[in-house]
Amino acid sequence: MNCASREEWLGALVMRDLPFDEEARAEEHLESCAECRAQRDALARFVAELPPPAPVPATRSRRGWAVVAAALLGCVVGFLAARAPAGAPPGRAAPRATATFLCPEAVGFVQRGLDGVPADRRAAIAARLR
Amino acid sequence: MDVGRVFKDHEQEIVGIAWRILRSIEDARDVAQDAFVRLVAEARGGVAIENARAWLRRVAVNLAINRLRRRPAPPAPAVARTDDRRAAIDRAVAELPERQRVVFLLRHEQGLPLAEIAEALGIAPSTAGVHLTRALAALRARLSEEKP
Repeated sequence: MNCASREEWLGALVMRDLPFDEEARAEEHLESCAECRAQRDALARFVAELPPPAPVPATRSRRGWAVVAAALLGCVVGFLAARAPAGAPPGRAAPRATATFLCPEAVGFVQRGLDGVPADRRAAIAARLR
Repeated sequence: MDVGRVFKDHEQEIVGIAWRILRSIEDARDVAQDAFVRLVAEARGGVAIENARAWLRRVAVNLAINRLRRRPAPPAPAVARTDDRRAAIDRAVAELPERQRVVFLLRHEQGLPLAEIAEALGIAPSTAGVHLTRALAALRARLSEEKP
């Protein structure tokens, strides 16, 4: 740790994000460097005064997801199963697997999104699932 | 890979990461959805993904940044802020260069360790550290100008 590399470690130090050994080396350097110490103190005061982060706005409740997913799951399973051509080789029957290894919430998540996006983008996403 | 389990475990985090960058819950959900769809496609394509959480974070961060770049206007504040200090910080954060802004938001607001942010952005941890230090210094300078 030294003055030349200060930008690499100072922010991490004041946000308590340096590994233990690196923090110890930074503190050792700070004991002998008034300039770095002053910058550390200034940034540490600033960080301490930052307000807590804004909460992420709530998405649909888990219960809501479950209800939507339950309603859609049968449609999705039927939709995907119907797309697998009769007599298709094993690789082409893969869409069935999507409905079986995705949890209901994930199926609902994808399906809800597909309903809400433009047709061209919906086709691109659907292609990824085929 | 149990994609259903991955979805249940990480959906909220991935939406949160995207929201920190985009400040639009609808856009964040779109990004999360795209990330999970890509994960499904990769898994079904036989790609071995050892750390799905890290993979999802990286994809979500990149998708969110790409979406941000396509926006014609700067990101709007996330919520109505009645507190002047918070509003001033939001404005100052919005003025930061992109990488500084993303690193600061993911570290301070999302609480991701710097090493994980570096991994998500595909940069060295020391570079992420530089972005964080510069972001903090710029925010401090900007906000000290606004103090009466």
